[in-house]
Amino acid sequence: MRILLVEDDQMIGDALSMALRDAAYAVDWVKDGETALRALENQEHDAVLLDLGLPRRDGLEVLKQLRANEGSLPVIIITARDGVEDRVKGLDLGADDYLTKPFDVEELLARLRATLRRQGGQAASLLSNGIISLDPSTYEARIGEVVCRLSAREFSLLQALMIRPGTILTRTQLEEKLYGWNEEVESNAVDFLIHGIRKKLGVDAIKNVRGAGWMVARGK
Amino acid sequence: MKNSLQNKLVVWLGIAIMIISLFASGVSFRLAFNQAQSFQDDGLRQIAQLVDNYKTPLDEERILESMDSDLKRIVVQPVIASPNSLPPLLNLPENLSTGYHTLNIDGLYWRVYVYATRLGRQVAVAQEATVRNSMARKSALLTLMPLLVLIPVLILVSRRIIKAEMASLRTLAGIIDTQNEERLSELPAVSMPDEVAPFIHAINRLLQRINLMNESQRRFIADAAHELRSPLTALSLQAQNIERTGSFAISKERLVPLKDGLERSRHLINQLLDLVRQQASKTNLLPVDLEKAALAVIEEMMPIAEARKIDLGLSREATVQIDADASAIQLMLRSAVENALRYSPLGGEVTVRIGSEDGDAILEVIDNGPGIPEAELERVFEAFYRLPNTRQIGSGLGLAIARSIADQFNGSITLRNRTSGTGLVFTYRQRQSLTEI
Repeated sequence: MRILLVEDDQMIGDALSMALRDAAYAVDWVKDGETALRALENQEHDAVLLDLGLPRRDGLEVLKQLRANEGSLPVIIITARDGVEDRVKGLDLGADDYLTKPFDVEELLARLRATLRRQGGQAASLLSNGIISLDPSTYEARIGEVVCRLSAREFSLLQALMIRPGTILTRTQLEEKLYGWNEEVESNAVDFLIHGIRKKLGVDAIKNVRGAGWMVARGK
Repeated sequence: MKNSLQNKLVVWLGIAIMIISLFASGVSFRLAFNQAQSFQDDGLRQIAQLVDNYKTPLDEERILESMDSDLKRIVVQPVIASPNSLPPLLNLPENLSTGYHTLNIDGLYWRVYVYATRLGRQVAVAQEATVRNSMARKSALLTLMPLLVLIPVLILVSRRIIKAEMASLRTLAGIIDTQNEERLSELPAVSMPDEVAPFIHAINRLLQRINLMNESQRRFIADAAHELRSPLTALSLQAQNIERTGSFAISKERLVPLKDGLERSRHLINQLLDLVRQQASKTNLLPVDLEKAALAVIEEMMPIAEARKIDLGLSREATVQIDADASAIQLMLRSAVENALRYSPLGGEVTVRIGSEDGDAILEVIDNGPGIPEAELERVFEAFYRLPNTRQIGSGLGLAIARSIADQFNGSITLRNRTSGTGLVFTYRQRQSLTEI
């Protein structure tokens, strides 16, 4: 999962990036509205955490622009503006959720999961392809009777595959889900993580399509 | 209602009306009285003429007495009675000249007209004056009647008019009373007496100023709440980041940003307090030696300058002192030097310059940082305003505090970009103190 964090405060940005990375999200952090809009053009993010009081382009403007471009990208507003008017305005402009600063990281992560889940058209908190089911809040994967806990990175990779079972993801696509712009991609990281998951869930959990990439089976 | 304009107006108008009416009554009474008397004097003269025309010389010795229909006693007698005639009715003094006299004869007042007959005798026609006067008074009083009726009517009418006019003032007071102090609205100037209009305009101007002030206070509080939230958010995130790690080494590593966060909160709160204190403090003017103030600030800032390898120095071109408060001036200078150190590049140069110009003391802080875009030079004085895209974590209050201090001492602060090379010049200018050091 790759998150675009739009936040102009150096310290909050630093701390929030760290918290998101700890939760196995890949984070790209920009500090103003203009840059945020340019970053969104690439369409490589799964969700946006958007501050409102931004230099150059206000957060609400960024949101308006994003929705005008028919982007259905999940957006969670994180702001110190706590007026009902601001909330209503933010939600009406197409934000999926609204969180007032200061907030708890756990709450932010839970809301992020819920938003991503709704985005995938699933109401249940578990991701499932009929064979494997994955719990985003505990990182637990279940296959038949086997239940095991994945590491944050392992979870992140499996989640990327499980969101659309049957879809092949290339190595680059998987790396994008795992690393932010300024993070150095470790070579073989994907192979290493897949190896770890297969060890826990069995070799059939993730299928390798030669020359193309990886996928999980579509449920019956 | 001791100081009631309405009551005062009624009372004073009443008194004025009374005085004027009394005076007018007096005058008209006097005039009517005099006129009545002169009519009666004419009567006496006509009687005398009649007597003179139709009486024989012998008759001149006669004494006539008559009462007219109003019981007026009229007596005609010679002034000096001849020895062979009847004793006179009235004891007139002997040396009466011709013409009108008012005489007291045996305790009664008489109006006497003395004339000389063709034979040279003096004959008096007398009429009892008390009767005469009461007659004259009666007719004079009749002319007073309308005036006397008018007095209470005038007072009542003026009272009503004043009350009606004052009603608009009461309405105005009602409007002012029901104002919402958060959002004061202008008072209506229409339908108010013209005399009150300047007053209403003055109040409206005051209300406008209060509204502006309220607005800026509200904005400041909202901004302050927002600004307090940011470091708090950072702190809470930083603390949770530490909580999440299982490793001691990583926890320790993550303590560094938490400490920075605490320092930032401390700085912001101090700045807020400085600003509030500055705005609330009453001005106590004492001579301040700018060199001493500058040295104190430079000493204090030296560690920061050294850490950033910045050459912080003083350039004293004149010995000047100003009437101000030393700690406030230092606080202002500290804000300027802090900014200069923060935005100057590593190894840069920051100079505090003291000079004088046209009787003004000049205190400047010159850096060689990137300067400020011309369009932002004024905005940076707004509370919490920070230049976009700066990596520096300031409170955005330093310059607001500095300007508030400058205002306190009738000084001025200007920022300008250096023309030679890059950098910013902070200039404080205040009238030089006249007292000697």
